[in-house]
Amino acid sequence: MGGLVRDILTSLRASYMRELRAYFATPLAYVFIAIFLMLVGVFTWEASRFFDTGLADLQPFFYWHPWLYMIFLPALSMRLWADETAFGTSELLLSLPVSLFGLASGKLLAAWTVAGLSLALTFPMWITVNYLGTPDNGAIAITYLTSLLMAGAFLSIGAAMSSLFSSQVLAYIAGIVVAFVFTAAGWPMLVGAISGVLGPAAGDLFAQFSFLTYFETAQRGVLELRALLYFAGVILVWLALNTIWVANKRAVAP
Amino acid sequence: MTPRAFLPAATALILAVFVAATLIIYPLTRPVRIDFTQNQLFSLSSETKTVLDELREPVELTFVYTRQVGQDYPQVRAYASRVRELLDTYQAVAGSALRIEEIDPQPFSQAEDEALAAGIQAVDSEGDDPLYFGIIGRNTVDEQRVLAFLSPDQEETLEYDLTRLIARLDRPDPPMVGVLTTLPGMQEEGGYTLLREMDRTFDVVQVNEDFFSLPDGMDALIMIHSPELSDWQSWLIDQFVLRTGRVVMLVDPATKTAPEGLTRRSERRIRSDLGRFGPVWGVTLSDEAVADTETALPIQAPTGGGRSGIVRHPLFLSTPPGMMSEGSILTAHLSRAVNFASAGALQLEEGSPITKEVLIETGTAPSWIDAETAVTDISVEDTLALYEPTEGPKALAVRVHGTLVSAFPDGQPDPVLPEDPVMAEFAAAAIAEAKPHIGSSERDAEILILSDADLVDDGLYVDMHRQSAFADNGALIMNALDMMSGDANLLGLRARASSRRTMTRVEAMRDEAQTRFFDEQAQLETRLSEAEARLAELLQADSADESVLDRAAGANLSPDQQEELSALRLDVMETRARLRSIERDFRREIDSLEAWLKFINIFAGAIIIGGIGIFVWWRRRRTVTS
Repeated sequence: MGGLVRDILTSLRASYMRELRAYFATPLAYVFIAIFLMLVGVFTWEASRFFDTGLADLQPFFYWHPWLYMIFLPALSMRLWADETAFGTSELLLSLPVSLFGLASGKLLAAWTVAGLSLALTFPMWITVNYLGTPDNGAIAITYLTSLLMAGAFLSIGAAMSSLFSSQVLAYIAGIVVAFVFTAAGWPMLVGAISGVLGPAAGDLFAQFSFLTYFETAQRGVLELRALLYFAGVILVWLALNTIWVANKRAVAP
Repeated sequence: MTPRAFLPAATALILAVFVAATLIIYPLTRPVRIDFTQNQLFSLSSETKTVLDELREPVELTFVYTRQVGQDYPQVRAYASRVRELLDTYQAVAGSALRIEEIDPQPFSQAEDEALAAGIQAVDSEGDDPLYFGIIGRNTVDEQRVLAFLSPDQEETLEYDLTRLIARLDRPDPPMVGVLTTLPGMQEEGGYTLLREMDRTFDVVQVNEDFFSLPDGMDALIMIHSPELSDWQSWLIDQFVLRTGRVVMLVDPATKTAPEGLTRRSERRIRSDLGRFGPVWGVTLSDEAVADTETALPIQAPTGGGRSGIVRHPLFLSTPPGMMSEGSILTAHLSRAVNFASAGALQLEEGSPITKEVLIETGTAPSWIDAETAVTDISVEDTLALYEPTEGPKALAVRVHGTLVSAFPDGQPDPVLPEDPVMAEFAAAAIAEAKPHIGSSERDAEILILSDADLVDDGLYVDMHRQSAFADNGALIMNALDMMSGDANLLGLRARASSRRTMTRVEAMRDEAQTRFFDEQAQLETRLSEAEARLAELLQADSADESVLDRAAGANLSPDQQEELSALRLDVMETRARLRSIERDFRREIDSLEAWLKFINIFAGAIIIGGIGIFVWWRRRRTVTS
């Protein structure tokens, strides 16, 4: 058991460092972060008209996070496994006697680090709101934390999709589709349609699988155990799927 | 199993485990949450727990919610889930003393009839069916209380509303509060929010202006800009104070909201005061209104040049919690300001043996403004022109408590009966039942005196669009009535309503710009009027026989006078241009702040990170090339 954990940790550390270097050695991570920062700013200041609300809280800023993650994070994760196939390194990687779960976790963690860095770099928004008034910083901190967890959930979906496809574009599209399902499950249009066909209980049930449902409470400054368990569950499930899908490639490899 | 067959099976199994786990965990972990908000807005308070623990008779709550319609509104759906959770938490604390049921009133169903009959509000939705979203409470004697519509905007007060409903059902005989007022908003059904709020908690009884007796069993009396009282009426109130001792008094030297007199429509009774009680209690109301630049409330008002904007008006006061007594239960928990409109000041008599406590006061340098002037729509500029700072804060709210003596040392006065014989007979019957005169308190008095009657007006503290309060005017009076009727649990609960966290820096900039604007504008306008007067003087000296055009040209003036005329015209033009530019400057700093913050938050980070990216890419290319 101890050996297994050690194997996982070793391969996790190795793949984490390798992926992180890959992100920052090319302009990819920088471009990603720059565009993310700009868009989150545009949505907060222009679409939600943050300044005109006259209120020193970050609701208009956090409101867009699930939707921006849905579009952006699959772009960050699409290369995680698809790149290996494209560069021909996957065969070498899969032939190594390393823990696939550790590998997948390391890759996910590297992408999560970039996403976390992007989120952390939105700190001028937090400074701004403190400069303009006296916001509820406890509530803001908890919303940031939940947003980071939600980013991990989005990335785990994207990483798993990347392991299914050898094309980055296909991995990106598939990532967005699945992420959309998990986001829009709490979307009124969809919930309304499900309620109409299967009844309101089914609509409520469906909404239980939406990131929006769990993020909504966090935005009020309340940390729920079920939100923590849900996001952790999503990450673990997609990490597990990622691992078995990669393992399958190793098994069927000639 | 072959690897190819294994893959779909394992994928399906993992997804199934996830779905099952989510479905199980979701309801099981519902109550486990940590509230990180500063005021613990979303946690069950100890006051609610006390009310639930002390339930004497079982209470039944029916949550009425049209799920199908609610699904179309994410805010409503999320709020419904929150209400359900809160009800579960209540049930967990109260145990069998609280029964919870949920009904979903489908169109044309019996449940819909039940909801409508109970008073649940049918809210129009964009679809065909209405949305029902409220709570019906019943007790064992079938008394019913309803929260007609649960608005998601008012989540902060959900616990208070629910606990009050339960407390009210647990105590079938609510305290009786008499209202003696001349303000129509405090008399009519559908009047002020405060009246509706009082109606939900107390048995509210209107005391007629020409009363000859006070209602039997009245627990507290609230007098808001009361009519001029006859001796007999003052004596009745005096005796009520000595026997029951629970009174809230709102008096005002300049009531802006006072109705016009019935006989002479142009005449308004703008003043109400403490009458005979003032000297006995050692509290008197000023003849003039107070203005205060330190606590001036931002209101929408003309800003000159035909424009209107948000300006701080010194006759409208907004006293923040810092200017209220922290030691009094009535004000200690208020989290927002209390707003006043042309209030008076309460002067406390030195050496009076009665215990008095100042609860709210103005800033340190308020000014007296004549009451007749204060009730008009006087502009900020004119108010500032009349402003003469006085030393020291003035009291706006005072609590009087302890043993009191009668304001009628000679005993019961002789009543003056109405001329109408029927009315006289009714009056005589009421007078005959009056209790004998007593000279001092039978029970320690608890009196709250406020120096403004307008503070009950919705416009001063209720956002009618959101149907929520932005100041604690209502909360202060409800606190007093709750305390007087012995429901202290609700006091702590009411205080939890969150305050809106405004952009204080922007407000301060607006205030500062406004002060600058008015000072300089006043100087420029003086200069302008002086220049124009001199101009008129010069032109008058010109020949009266000339046509207007010629006079304007100043054809008959001496060269020196013509030179002065040109200089004056130039001065007038320049002054007017400067005035216009000040108006632009008024908004410029705030616009500039917004532009800077927008730039920093949208572009600065992106430019810096993008720059680093380009540098890394360039370095890497150079390394590869070399």
